Amino acid sequence: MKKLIALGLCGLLGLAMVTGQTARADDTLSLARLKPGSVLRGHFIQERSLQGFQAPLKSEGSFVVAEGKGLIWRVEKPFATVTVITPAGLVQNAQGTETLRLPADRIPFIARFYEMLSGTMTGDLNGLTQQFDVKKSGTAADWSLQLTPKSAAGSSSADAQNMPIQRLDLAGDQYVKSVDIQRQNGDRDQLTFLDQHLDAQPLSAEETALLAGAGDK
Amino acid sequence: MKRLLAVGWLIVILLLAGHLLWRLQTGINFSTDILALLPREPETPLMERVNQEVSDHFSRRVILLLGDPDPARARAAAQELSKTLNQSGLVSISDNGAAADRLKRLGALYFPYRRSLLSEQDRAALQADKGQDIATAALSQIYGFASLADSRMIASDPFLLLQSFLTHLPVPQSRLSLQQGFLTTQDNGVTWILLNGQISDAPYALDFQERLSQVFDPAVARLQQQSPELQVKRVGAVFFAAAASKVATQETSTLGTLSTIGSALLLLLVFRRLAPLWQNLLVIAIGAGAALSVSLLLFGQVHVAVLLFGVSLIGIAVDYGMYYYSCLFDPTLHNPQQRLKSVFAGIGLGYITTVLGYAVLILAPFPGLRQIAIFSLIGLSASFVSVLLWFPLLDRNTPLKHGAGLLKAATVPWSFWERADWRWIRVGTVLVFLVVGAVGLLRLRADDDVRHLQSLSGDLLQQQADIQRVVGSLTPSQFLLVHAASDEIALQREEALAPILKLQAATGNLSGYLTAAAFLPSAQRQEENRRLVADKLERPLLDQQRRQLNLAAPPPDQNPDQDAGRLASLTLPQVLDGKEGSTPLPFLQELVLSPGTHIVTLQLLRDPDALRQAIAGIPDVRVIDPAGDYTALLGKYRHRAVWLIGLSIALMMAVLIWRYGWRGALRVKAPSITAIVAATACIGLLGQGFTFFHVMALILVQSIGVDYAVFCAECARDKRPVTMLGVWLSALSTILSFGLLAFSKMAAVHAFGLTMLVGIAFAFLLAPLAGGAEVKRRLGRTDQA
Repeated sequence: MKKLIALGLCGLLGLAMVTGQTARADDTLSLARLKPGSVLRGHFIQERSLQGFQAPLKSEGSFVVAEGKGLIWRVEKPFATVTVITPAGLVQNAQGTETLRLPADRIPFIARFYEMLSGTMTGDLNGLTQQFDVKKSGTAADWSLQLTPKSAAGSSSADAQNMPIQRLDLAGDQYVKSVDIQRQNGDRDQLTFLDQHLDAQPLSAEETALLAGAGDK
Repeated sequence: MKRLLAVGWLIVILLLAGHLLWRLQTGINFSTDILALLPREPETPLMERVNQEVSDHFSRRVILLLGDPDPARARAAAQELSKTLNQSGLVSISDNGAAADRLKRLGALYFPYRRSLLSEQDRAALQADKGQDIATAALSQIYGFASLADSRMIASDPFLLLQSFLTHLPVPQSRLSLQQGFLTTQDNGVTWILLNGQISDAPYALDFQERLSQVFDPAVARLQQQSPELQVKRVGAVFFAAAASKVATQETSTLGTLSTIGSALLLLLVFRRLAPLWQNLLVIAIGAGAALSVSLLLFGQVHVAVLLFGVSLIGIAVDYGMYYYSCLFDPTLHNPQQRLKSVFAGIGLGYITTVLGYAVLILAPFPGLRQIAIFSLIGLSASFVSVLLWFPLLDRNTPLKHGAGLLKAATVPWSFWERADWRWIRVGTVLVFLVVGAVGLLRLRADDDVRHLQSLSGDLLQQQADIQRVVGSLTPSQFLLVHAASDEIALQREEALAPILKLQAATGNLSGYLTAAAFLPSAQRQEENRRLVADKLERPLLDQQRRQLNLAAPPPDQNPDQDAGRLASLTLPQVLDGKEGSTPLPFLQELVLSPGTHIVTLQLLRDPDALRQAIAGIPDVRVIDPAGDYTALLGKYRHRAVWLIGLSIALMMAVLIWRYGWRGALRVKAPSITAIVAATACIGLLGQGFTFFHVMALILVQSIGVDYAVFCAECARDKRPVTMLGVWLSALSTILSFGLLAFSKMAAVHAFGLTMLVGIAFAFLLAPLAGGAEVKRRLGRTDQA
């Protein structure tokens, strides 16, 4: 079970990097800095191309990244889904019904995942470089990153086997503009980010409540 | 005649000694399994076997946790320790290598049967005809963030039924994850690795504990030398048992040495010569040797605890010698024959009453106590006969002259009860004791909780708490046993239990539970699930769902093998054996004992009776609470032991009434009965729970205590100082051998020792009150003081 979750979370990783403004660690990238307490908001369009499906599954919505607190990912079309990830865990609600709850105190992987995510936010790429080889190209103002999982070696082969991601491409300027996740089985998720802005408005009461409710029940 | 008897007795003793030597030569098999001493609840053989199996399995489990700030060093240490332990053959550490692709194998096992497996939520939704909710939730997830589903999964299971089943499985929760083949977690900068193992023998076998510690301790020491920051924590019945045995061994040697030295000093100081000392030692040696020899003949083997405890009971035999040698201080008794005559009635009656007291122990429900009682009876009898037949022959002493002061001091307790000018002090003292005693008795409360008696090592408890904190899961301590005619019925019973257990958990009576049926629904339920899926989900909603997902119908990679579950149900053997001979659900093997016999593990069950009531309507299920069962058993036997006291008082009264008449018998019995009450009050005053072990000590208090009273009753007024000296000596030596046990760290032994200490002290101080009893009938020719 844990592996299943880990599997899904590895998929999440790419997204987390995006919303977390991944590559700021690197001076050659000119990503906007998130200060503690600051809030990044934006919109996204996601396109899932699944093997054997006639057409890609398109969805769109908005996201909020609250530095030090967590992130909220809202799919608005075609189905309303809210996913919240905080140091305390992950919760997903679909149309008012809870569909997934992974509290960090029971599934420490969530906490590790969140650490990776917040590490990325503060410019610490260590969490990612343990899992991926990173290749940079472009200029500081218009950059792209290509991440590939480190090849399996020794006793960690089991971990690598379970890494569902084949390749991860990121591109951006001041903000991340797009993410392309290619899975081992040929499935592909493409995300495009729009209208990103920092500190436009503080967290609403509803958002604060969402972030507070992600732990164990 | 007397010489002939003495020689005859010598021959008997030599024969017994020869038998003992022969047995020692061929190797005596001392049994060491502590459980063998505990009583068993009368049960059907099957229940007993199942109980045994369950407790065996869990009591053989060991959990080791290795922590090091350096993850690589932690892994290396775990690797080396596993290797050492596996090679020793004493512990087998389970291999996590197979766990790596466990999820994949679990998916492969369940996938063909996805229509038969429904999560509780989905099943409830379908039963309420809310298939649309499931369809929408699946779509939301597929379109949403962090979708776990990939194309193949969505195509063959567009409602994500299997994903829902898998994410709702009650997998034992733990903070550990598999890293490089080790169950690992990080806590405060330390990498912890968990090793699970099963020991190869019973955890209570002393020799196994010894062998394990000879392998385990040096291995850990070596690892800690290599890496000083390494921490090793352990939990398991075997470690608790070994720590308890260690304490017991240490105490046996320290308390035993103190008691021996104390008794020897007492004799030397009082008599100022060696003869009484070595002759008393001889008496005890003969008693112990004869008891061991005869017990081996009777039982084939003797338990170590019987040996230790029985020998100290035989220590009472030293009293006979004490009384005899006290006569050395009597200038009117010139030769051994006169001395023996003077004490014969006293030690004879004392012997009979003590034998009655011990005989009652034979009726005690503990097999161990029964052996102890028989062992002690034989030893005591051998000692008694030896004193009777040999002391007059061995005794070459002339009356002792240095006793004037001693004798004077010895009579103080007697004077206390008789001196007219001490009347008010006496009344005051008695009143104070009555008030204090009443307070104690009012505060007395019973406590049969076996966990309070275990006196588990604090260090190990701390390690257990640390492991629970780091690992985040608990070892189950209570169970439900499902014993049904077949696996199918057992699974159905578990399905009936599930809502009850859920409610119990919600109301806080439980913190968790695990049933096999949660991982494998009964065939009946699987069929129901298939019907629900077909009627309420696929027929009305499948086409619509496929359209929403842009999914062509039928799914492209349909493989008949992957759809075996359209008609058939997944079976328990399939789950237990797994696909390639190793199951992805290894803990299920712990839940299924044999076909039809399953257990449900419960975590932190607070009120077993409430659960018993809640499940009363479900057949084939019962609560197993080993600690609770022992607690109930100890309570039952505590009551029974109180009756044994009554019984032994009645038996003794018969003898005493014959000798002293009604009133005299009451006078003689009153001190020991008062001593029992006083000791009980003292337990209440100290706030200790009154246990079975207190009561067992009370049985001895009254059988030893009555001896003191008998001596005081038997002696003529002019012999009082000498008699009282004998009572002093025997009370002191009893306190030295039993009262010292009050200092034991083991709760049961402490309870026993404390009761003896207080009870014997009171029996001794009150004994002179029996002095007024009048002898009505004579024992025989020699009984002419």
